[in-house]
Amino acid sequence: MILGSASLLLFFIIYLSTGQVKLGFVESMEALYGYLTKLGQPTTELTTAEMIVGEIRLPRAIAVIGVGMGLSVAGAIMQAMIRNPLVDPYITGVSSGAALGATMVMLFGITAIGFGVFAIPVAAFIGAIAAFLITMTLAEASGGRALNYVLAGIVTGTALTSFVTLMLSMSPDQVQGPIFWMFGSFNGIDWTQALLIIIPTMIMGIVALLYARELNVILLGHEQAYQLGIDSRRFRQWMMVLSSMLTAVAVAFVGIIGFLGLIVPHIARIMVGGDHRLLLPASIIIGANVLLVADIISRTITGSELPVGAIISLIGAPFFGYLLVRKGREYAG
Amino acid sequence: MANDSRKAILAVLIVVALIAIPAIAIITLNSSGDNDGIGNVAADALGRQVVVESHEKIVSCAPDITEAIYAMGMGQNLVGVTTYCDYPQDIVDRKNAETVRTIGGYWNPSIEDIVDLQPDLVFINSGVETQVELVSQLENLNITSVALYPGKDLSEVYSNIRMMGQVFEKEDVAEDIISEMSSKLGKIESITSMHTLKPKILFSVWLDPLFTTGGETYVDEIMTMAGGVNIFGHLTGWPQPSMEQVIAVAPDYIIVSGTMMLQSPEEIIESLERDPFWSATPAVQKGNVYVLTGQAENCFLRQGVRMVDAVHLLAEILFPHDFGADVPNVIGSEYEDYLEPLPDFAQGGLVANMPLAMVRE
Amino acid sequence: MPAEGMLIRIEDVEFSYEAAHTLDGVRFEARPGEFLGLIGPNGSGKTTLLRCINGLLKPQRGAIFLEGKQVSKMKLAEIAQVCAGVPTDIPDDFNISVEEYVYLGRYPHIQNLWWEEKEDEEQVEKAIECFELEHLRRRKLFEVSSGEKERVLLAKAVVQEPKIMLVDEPSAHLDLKFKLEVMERLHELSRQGITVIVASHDINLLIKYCDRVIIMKEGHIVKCGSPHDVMTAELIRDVYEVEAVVMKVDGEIYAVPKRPLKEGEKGCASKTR
Repeated sequence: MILGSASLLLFFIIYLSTGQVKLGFVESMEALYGYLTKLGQPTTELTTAEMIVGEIRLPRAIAVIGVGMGLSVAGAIMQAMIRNPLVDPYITGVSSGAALGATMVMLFGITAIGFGVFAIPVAAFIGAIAAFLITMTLAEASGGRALNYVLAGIVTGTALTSFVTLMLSMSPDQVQGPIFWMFGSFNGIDWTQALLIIIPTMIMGIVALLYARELNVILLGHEQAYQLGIDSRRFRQWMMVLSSMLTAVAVAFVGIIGFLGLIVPHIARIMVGGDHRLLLPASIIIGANVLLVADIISRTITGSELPVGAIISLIGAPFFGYLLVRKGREYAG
Repeated sequence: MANDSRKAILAVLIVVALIAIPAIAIITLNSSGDNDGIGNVAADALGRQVVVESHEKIVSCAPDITEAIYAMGMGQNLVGVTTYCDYPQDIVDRKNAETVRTIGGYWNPSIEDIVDLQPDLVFINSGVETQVELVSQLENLNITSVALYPGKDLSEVYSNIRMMGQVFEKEDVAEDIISEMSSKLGKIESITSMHTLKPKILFSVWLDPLFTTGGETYVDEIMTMAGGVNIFGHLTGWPQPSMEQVIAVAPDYIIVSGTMMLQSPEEIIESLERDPFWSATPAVQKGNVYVLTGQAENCFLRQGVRMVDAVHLLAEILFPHDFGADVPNVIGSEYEDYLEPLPDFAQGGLVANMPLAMVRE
Repeated sequence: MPAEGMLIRIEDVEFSYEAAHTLDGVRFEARPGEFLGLIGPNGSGKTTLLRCINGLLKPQRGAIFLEGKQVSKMKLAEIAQVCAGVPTDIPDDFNISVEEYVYLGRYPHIQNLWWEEKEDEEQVEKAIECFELEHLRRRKLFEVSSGEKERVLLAKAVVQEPKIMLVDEPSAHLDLKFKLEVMERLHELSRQGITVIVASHDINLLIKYCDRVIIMKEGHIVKCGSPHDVMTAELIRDVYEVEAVVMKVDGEIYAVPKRPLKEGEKGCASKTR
């Protein structure tokens, strides 16, 4: 845990020091300091370096940490709720809903600036939540068990994705916008978006932590949990909502970043075990770390940015494979 | 009890959330007031009122924008362009000499590089998502940005030129450009309109699978203005017709946009001639397959000031006798050599005035 | 009937799973520290009854009272503090240790939001000692043998500090020795004041250890009383449709099945209370 926090800090600093414009480490730190001390003054007072580090990289770093935390916790919760370690937080169709919302806005024109900058995130968020609600309705109507949620999620996700595909195929000249969005990227994150990501995520993360013990008990199964005093069906509904909202917040602003919600809880589990009081904090730290590293790589490897989601898979998959082999026998679920 | 302390914490969190989130949203949506500047745009493509204070250092985020800036005579003020900006030659030279920085591509302009240049003015294309995202960040940093229309038809191109005129306080230059463009178009039209039978054109952006341009696209408008007929103009977007449909409509001319393809232009023509289906079309049989590359292709695909060149070139292809031109089947960046000067007609009547009527205010 | 001194009181309970009438007019009472056995063939409603007692299922008619409070009016958490269920088995895909598993049983009583407190630790230590799980503490659940697992299950139930323990088919997959061991432990627990209700197919096991047996068939209680009074070959024939012999050896009753009844030999079950 301590190791994780330390590495987090390290990566944070590296993050601030890297980017398309070359700034040395010392220069970046000076710029950061300058920026922080000048908070509150109009931005014309800032030097170029301060602008870059403070207005561009800093909010982006915060957003990265927020998304890393959010998706990881959402994934851990989902895995507990579905009682299956192979699920990721998009299983309720949240990603398809978000993609649909974003695509609709992009294809049918950007609405007036009153909502303008927020048009896509808001639409994506609404799409994501709507998808989840559809899934939940279907799942509850068909029994409300874990399997129902998975199946309902597949149904909803597939249906919504097919809408997106249809829409894109009718306007192939405008395909790039939605597709780039779906790749997932932190480009264009400013302070507002960063705050809108990190604050809800931290709040929801704390809520999840408050229920860590219950998450443990839920793993015993519906009947056992009931006997210990938890209405597992109701609890599952609430936790699903929480997880989906965490995911929706992340996806709305940033696009679809895969892998994180599925793999980070596993890595955390291998490292600290299945007790959610340890697992959730570990997931948070590991998730933030992983995403920071991935975004650093995506911004520095080539002249222009690479999609973060791909980078994540590239570094994460082999690492997880290694862990699995080394500790595989201990780890059965 | 555990549950009580938990409930208390939850309550606190909810209160915080309910206050913080709307607060942030509201603060953002309140834009700051504005001061006087030299250029003033009443409404850019995003509906904003923009005050331009200076245009000493300009950044362009799209090739057609770069071309327009040069057309307005402000090319020397460019400090940052995209990797795709390659016309006129001057900008290529300056990129090589590193007096102009490359700030990324069309789809992923680098905000850091732009900020590092400390520009006075940034032009973005409002049709590109990632560029629109730049706007809020630039606003936060007090860097002026102007959003241009995507240019999906001629009237948007004219609107963009007018907007630039306002920005640079060179409205007269803008009007000159527009009237020159429209007069050229008018002349071309008066020549081509003498033909009652309009040649059927198939414009392909990709051959395998076959992607053509449909109606209501930029290229479609070029085809119409050049006096031809887009055989797939009744479909919208970028249709993928089957070979049967192609043979059925029997195009007289096939124009292929060739830069992205793997084969060389000559190979492309040869493969069409060898293909049993393609060779059944009048276009292939009469040797009327044209492959566009380089800057010739860019005229057709970049929605900007060189649209007129595209129309001119295409008209020469369709009606070589009328224009006294002989355009080769493979035409690239040397296309300008083939643009014959247009005769001086008196412009009268509906024909010459039509383009102006399409202009949007 | 006075509820004083009665721990569990079940009155006229009816429960139906959709079409089938699973429980019909069930009524009995249990005292603290009683060891009750639920006997009956498949489908007689044993499991359903257990689920009704701890609130998992809500009966359509009738009421169940635990310590005078009606179950349907109690919150789940309240019920959990009083009544513990021991499942037949633990799912195998569980990655936690024995110790952590036993701690889970403390859930209804844990006061602190995050950590365990002294009282929790004491209870768990006691249970681990009592069920001889010391050497298995850190072992993962799926590495533990069946017999050991049974003790783990009981330990977890015990730390819940229940007044009532409901055990469904505790020894289904255990060998002879462990079967007996489990019953011994449950008997122990009942002597410590916990009311234990065990449902099982193993008649002899229940007869041997239980204070009272409740025999069910097709949703009714056929007979209820101490094994010596109640177990007869006739009863077995009625309820199980099996020809058997009931005999006394060393003061203990044993039921020895001989053969299943053929079609023509079956009579109607007599309903006595």
